[in-house]
Amino acid sequence: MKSAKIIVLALVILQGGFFGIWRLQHSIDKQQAALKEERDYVLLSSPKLLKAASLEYAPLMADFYWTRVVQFYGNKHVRGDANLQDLWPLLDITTTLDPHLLPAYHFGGIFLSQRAPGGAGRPDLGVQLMERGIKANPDYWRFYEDLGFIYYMDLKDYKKAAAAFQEGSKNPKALIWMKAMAAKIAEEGESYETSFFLWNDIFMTTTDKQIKENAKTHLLLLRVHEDCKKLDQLSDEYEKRFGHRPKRVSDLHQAGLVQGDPVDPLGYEYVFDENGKAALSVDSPLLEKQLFLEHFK
Amino acid sequence: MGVGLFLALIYVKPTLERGDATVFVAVYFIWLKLALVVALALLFSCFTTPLLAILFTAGIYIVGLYVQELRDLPVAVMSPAMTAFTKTLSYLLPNFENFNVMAQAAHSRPIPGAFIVQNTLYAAVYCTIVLTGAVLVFSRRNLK
Repeated sequence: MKSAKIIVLALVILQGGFFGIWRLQHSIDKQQAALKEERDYVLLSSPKLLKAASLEYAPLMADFYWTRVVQFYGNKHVRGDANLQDLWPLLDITTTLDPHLLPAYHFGGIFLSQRAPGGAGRPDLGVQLMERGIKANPDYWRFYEDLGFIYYMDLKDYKKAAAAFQEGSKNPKALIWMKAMAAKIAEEGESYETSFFLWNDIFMTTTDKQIKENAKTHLLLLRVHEDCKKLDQLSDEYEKRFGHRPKRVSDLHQAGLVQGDPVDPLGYEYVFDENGKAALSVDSPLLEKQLFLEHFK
Repeated sequence: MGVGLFLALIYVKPTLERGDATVFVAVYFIWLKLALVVALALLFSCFTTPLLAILFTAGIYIVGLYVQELRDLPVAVMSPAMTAFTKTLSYLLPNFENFNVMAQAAHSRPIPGAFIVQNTLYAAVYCTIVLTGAVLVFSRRNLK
């Protein structure tokens, strides 16, 4: 009888206990989510200390850190998290451990400089990284292209961008367009052709999947920007002819100003917004990307 | 261990800040974790040999460190029954990752009081369950 009572009591404790554990674990998960919102990817942030601790295995350690950089960025990208403050310390450690790890500079230069959500929005650190890369690898002319790219795209400092391309063009291995790019930027500053060329070169030459995807998005949005600019010009012409702005892009087609209905790079028809300006259709997947990028401007 | 750590902190950093208290919270959580491990070892030692008890305890400890991974298993490739099973299991196994505040301690980040209370309760309730199980097993053993 006593034994039966103990068993019943124990079963009640076990059942109630596990129910309590279940509830507690849910509460703890919520607390942990807030606590670990910014997970610590860098507990040891001194590159010099890590290099000393790595002994003769610093390049191997650099590979581990390089993997962590890619994982860090990939995780943030997948979760749509724009906080990339740990990107610099990770890249700093990686490139200090192995100053000749070329992909780390290329990747870091782009994603440190680019504004959120695609990057950390720290072009100053991007420049610092590229200058470090150039110092450690003076024969690699592509770093001058990356440096010029940061000055051109992110810092809008066309004088320094032209100087970077000019400096890179002095390398005998550099492609001929480096010199042409230096001259074009020095003369015109920002232009659609230059921006398109630079993103396209990155898209065509990179082997990194994330860089390629990022470049593709920028290329598509550049094309959208240019298309909308042209459509707005045609709308002005339409207004001059008919006394009112077109309501749909098909009006431009009917008026003979364009051949066929203008569509974005993904095949969705452009629309005119309430101000009569050309814009992406709400159905277009590019709209979300465009709004997302503009949100962080 | 806590006292030693405190002395080392004073040696390295003559002026302690409020954030340094997180280190002691981390020590407290290690203590809670230890209590849970000891309770599990007690349970297993009630019905098996010492060697197997060590192996079972170590096994549960390792599994408990990767409970989050159990929840993150790719749901898309598993059947609904399997998904429900792994999820339930992940909540019933002792989650030792709850007590890991190493990163917060390293950066002197504050830990909410509610989190400390919840972890204390979690360890207390889990220890109660495990020790009740141990009592149940032990009371049915024939010691003659």
